[in-house]
Amino acid sequence: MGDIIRSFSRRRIVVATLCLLGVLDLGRSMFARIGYAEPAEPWQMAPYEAMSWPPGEANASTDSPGQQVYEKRCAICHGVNGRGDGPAAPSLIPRPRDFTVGEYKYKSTAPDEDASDDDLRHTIEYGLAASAMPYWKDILSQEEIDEVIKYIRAFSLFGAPESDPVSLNVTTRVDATAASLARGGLLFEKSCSECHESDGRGDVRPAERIDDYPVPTRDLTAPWTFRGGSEASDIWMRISTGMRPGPMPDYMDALSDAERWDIANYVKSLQRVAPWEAKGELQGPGHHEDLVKRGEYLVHAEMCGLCHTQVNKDMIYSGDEYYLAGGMGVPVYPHGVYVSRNLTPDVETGIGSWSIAEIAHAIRNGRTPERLLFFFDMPWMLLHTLSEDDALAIASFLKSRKPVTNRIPMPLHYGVVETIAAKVAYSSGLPPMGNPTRLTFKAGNYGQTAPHDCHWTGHRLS
Amino acid sequence: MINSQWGILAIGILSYFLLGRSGLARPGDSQRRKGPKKWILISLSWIGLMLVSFLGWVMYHTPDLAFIPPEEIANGASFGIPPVDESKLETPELAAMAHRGRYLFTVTSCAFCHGNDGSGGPKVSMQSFGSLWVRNITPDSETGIGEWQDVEIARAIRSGVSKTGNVLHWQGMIWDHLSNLDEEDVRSIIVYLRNMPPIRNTVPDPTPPSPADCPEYTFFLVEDDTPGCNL
Repeated sequence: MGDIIRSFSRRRIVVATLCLLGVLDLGRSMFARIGYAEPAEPWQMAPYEAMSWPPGEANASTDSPGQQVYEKRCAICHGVNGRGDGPAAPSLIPRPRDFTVGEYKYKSTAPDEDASDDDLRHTIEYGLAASAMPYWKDILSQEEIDEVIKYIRAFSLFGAPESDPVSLNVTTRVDATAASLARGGLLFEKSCSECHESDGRGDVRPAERIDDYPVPTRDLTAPWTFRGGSEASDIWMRISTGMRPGPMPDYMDALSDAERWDIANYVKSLQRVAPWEAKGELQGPGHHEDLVKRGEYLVHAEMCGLCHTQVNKDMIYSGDEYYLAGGMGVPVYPHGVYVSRNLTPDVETGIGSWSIAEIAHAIRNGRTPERLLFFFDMPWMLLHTLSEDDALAIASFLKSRKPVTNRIPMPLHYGVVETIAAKVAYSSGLPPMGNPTRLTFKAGNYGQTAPHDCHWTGHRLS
Repeated sequence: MINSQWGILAIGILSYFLLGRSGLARPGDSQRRKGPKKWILISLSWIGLMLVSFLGWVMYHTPDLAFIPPEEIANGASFGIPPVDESKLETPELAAMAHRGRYLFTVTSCAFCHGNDGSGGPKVSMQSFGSLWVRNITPDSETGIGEWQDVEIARAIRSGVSKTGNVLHWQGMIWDHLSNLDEEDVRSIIVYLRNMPPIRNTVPDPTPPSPADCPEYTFFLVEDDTPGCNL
């Protein structure tokens, strides 16, 4: 024993310690390569349809002209089979129209009638204002539009209408006199204010979910966002026909023609000054006083979901309950392999135990209770520009959501020797930042959605 | 296990001072380390070791350095996002919209892909959509979007349809997310885009999917005009 202890010369101890550290460092470099090579779980399958790219290129010349136009222009949102489940659909609010139901919100026919060809033509030519449905009149010819209407109609499980439905007769507008506005105001309070609120601002937060799809209530003071047009006759038509299958009911029978004109006049009178006109102010949902509602708007319009939601191999987001539940693997050489965090308020695996201020601090300053966020991965250096209120709004919305279990492993880092060597070799200028040359976003889930006591198939090292 | 370096280091240092002493009795040691020179050498080597360790630590952790205030890093990162030129805007309302547009340009991450000056360039490659290059969205009339109408820019932002009718891949230009932007915010972004200084930068046209493209979604941070996954 004494001999062994005597053999521990200081030099040998130094050499042995350095060797051990070297082996460990090499191990880290190796493990960073194999540790998160494959996702721990496949993407949670949801019924979104993949498609070939560029859209329509794979079509045979024997396909009908309607199908060719549809698959080139429409399928990306409405899906190859018309079910409203195209690859871009999961992020859209509300979801794209499902053509198999055969119902269209913006139409001029009686509430229980199909939309007319002219209604569909109008929507295709001019689009739906302020929404993802674009105008096509400069790109598609009249013949192409006619063909695609036929093709869309054929998706309906209820069959195409036997004859083209007849539009409602738009009665003569009641003049917008003080008396008409007073009558309209009373009717609005009785029939409309429950969803649109008395001031017409509506509720930015989705009022109702249809098939779990959020359907926002329109802000009636901003006619530039009216999908179906902002003329008094357009408003009269929406009140008359309703907006099935959305939550807006029809008032065809409940109110007389004149009463509907009174309401249309009243809605017109609610209009605020547009922000681009003299004395106008920006008052959109990004300025909502309710921080949860403002946060919901900001999160959906920003890119949060892009990295914090799993994708499948066709780069379709998981639009189901795993929205914002993290799990995307992002290797950033020579720094490490990062996995996007679970942003749902799950206490154990998400941000449930973080305070709203801590979340806002992480978004703006890249500092979490555990670590610094790596800024090639989480672009907090750009999000630092967010106002304090907007960051708190995003945090408040995240905290208000339903918690989802998705255990996210900690980042894996390359060995110190390799990282420093790579930074010296590939960086120009001082200090060597080691800017990655590429960012890779991997499909599948690198987290673990199963409960904790289940067998852990992934890799959890910290 | 993977983070046990501190344990190993601690054991090493401990044994150096505790166990190492018993190995001291070697002839010549005491003579070699006599005199003031010994202390200078030892101090210098310790200072050198600490300096090298500190430099290594800084290099390893760059750019995630906790002692740099986040404001400094953020200012560095958003440096070059053009300020609003109010002299080009006719009304105070349009100026307010341009400021809102610049804010959204920064935080909805337009700048992240299109660059702080909006001139585009980076390549994105994946086998399911081919190679594409981030477009130049400055108001340059030939290489940017100077000739586009407002409704055409809005359509590209919200629906991924370009002026000529090309379909933009939702994973390249994230129009599916941006379609949730309110009309006021889309118009604000457009006011700001028109307010930016035009930059002449021709960006390659997208190429259709090919086996040479990356098997996984890859965003290139270095300039590369060749289609496919190679650098």
